[in-house]
Amino acid sequence: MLIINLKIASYIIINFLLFTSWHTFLFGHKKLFSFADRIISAFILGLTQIILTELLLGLVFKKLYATPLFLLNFFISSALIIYAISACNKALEKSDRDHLTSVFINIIKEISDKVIWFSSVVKNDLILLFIFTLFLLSICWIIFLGYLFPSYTWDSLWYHLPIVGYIMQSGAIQEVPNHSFIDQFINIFPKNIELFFLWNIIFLENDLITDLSQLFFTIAGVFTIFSIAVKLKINERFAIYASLLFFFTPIIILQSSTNYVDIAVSVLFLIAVNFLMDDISCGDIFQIRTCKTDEKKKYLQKRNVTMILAGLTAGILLGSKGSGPLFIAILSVAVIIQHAIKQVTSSETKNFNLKKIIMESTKFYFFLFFIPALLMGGYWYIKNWIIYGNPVYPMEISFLNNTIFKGLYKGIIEPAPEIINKLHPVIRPLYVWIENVEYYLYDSRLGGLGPIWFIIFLPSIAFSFGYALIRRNYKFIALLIIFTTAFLLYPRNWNPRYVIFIVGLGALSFGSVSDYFRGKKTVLRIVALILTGYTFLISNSPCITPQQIKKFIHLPYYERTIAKQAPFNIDLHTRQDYGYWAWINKNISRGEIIGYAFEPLFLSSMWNSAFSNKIVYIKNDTFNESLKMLQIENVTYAVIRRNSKEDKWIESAKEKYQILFSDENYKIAKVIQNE
Amino acid sequence: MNNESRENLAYTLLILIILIMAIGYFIVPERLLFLQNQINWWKGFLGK
Repeated sequence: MLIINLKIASYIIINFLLFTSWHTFLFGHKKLFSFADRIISAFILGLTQIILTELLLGLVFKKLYATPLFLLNFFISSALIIYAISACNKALEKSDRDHLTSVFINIIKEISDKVIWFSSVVKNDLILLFIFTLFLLSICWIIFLGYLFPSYTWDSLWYHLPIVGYIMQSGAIQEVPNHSFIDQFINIFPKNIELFFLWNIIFLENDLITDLSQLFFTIAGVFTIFSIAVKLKINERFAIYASLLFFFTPIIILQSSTNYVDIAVSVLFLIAVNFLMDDISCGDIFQIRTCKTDEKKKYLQKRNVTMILAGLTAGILLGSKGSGPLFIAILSVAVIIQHAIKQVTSSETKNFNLKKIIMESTKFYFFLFFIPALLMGGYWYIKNWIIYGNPVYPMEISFLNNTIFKGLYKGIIEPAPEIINKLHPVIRPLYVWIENVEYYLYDSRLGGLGPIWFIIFLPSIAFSFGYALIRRNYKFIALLIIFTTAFLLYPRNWNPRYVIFIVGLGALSFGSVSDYFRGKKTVLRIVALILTGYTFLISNSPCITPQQIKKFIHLPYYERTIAKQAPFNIDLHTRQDYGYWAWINKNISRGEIIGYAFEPLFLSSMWNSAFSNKIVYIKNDTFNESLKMLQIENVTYAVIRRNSKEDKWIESAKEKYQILFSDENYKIAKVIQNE
Repeated sequence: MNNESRENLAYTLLILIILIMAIGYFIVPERLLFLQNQINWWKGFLGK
């Protein structure tokens, strides 16, 4: 019990210290950043620290284990918090320190002030109160389900968690031997979010809550929509509406308790766009020459910091999914154009030098955006380029029939549903948005954006675009261009989980429309409430049934396995594997080495729930070679398919093996090593 | 047409479009089956 508590304590301490240190650091710059932006920034900087420390330990020292990771982050965060406190105190000495006793009391006071402000806004709007209550209930429900059920989703078991398993068993971030189809993808996929999954396993020594990793991104997404809405000068009450309605997207609700990366990718894109947006008080991006000198200085200082934050966010996104370069390209163009426009409009005279502006914008982009982005996400692509001669291997990159990077595949391997292939590309998203589905899944392909997107957000986008054109609201138009470009350029944009960010645009448009019609009756908000309630009730997936919930609620965590859950999404393909999965989870302890000589559908289940054992592929042509390899690799258990040649070998050499598990399909034997 | 009338017209138009979108969304053939599945889920959850 004490050991379990120590693990939980270490996880809580390191996370508390890490995020508190960044929040304290940012508190010293509260005049530059809004409260929401500081929460989002603390999340991004904390995530940056997690990824960089793991890369340092895993790539350079090959010692990515719990203790070094804890100590390194403890040291960095302690140093940061000491620096942040002293910097805050220095800043306070100059102004209103007399009224304040300590930095932490001020931080707590600010948080409590924000909570009081938020409560008063919500209390004075009954519809908002209902929506917020449903939001809180949904968050509690997601946490409950994430805690109750193991990670059961297809891609999690197929490669997201095996990536974590391979890193944890070796303590190194390195290529794995290519024994199966999925191994090549495990090698080439960018792994930033998997490093965050690992963070949520390594201290606790179990995978109990790693499936809730994306929930952090969901909540960051809610804050981000609020922050963007406020920067668009939408009334704060409607900014809250927009941010909460963003959450009520079935694919977001369902994926928040899975080890997928789609919410993370879309939210990181939204956060990067948020950092690109100015909220200068003395004008907007086209009018900074109207600012006084000190205001302009403050603005330029803030602009540089937010640009670095945008670069870091974009870099984390680049290193999260193979589609990262597309988002980077769009954000890069946005940064350069935005900076060039600012250069032109802030010129005191009309005689500006175009060459100088291009040079300045490129320099600004390169140092403040590109370098941080490359730092956070470039490694995975550079590594692929060096090893495979192609940064996005195994995808082939061609331009005008010229092959730029050779690869194995020319497009997305997974076939699209037949109905989608029959439709015109313009009609495909509309068909999916109207949701001709019988149920939702975490990776729904023919639905998942929900009724709020189709019924309220789509018309809101059209209305707010028209309104922005009339009012010359360039910020909103720029936002619309960025999101629409990303949507149009994204391959398979009909697939809801790839384009969750577009819901962000819908939510902001709804906020804008609500703000515009705020004097009108409440029909729009009542419709929003009804659809929120509807989404709350219908975002259930057949993967988690009431019967499973009732069964699992009575089981201790070590018995809450996939084998017992038999989830609908994988059951047909994996029911013959449940026996050996359950046995491994129950009996394989830290340091044991499992040898296998077949291609399992899901590698993930070869590890126990702590990912504390090792797995090794031991396929050989002869019995003697196989025996030799078992000894070299110190294999302690062998998982064998019935009627395979390995099965025959162990039957003929019973003195070397002790069969501990056997069912219709598999055997697990303890390997008796010769002294 | 003054500003307020224009605003009223725009608001009515928006609500009308939302209504049409809602009808379009809820009359697709699979919606009934979708709702039946969800009702069954809740029946199971509430133990009925």
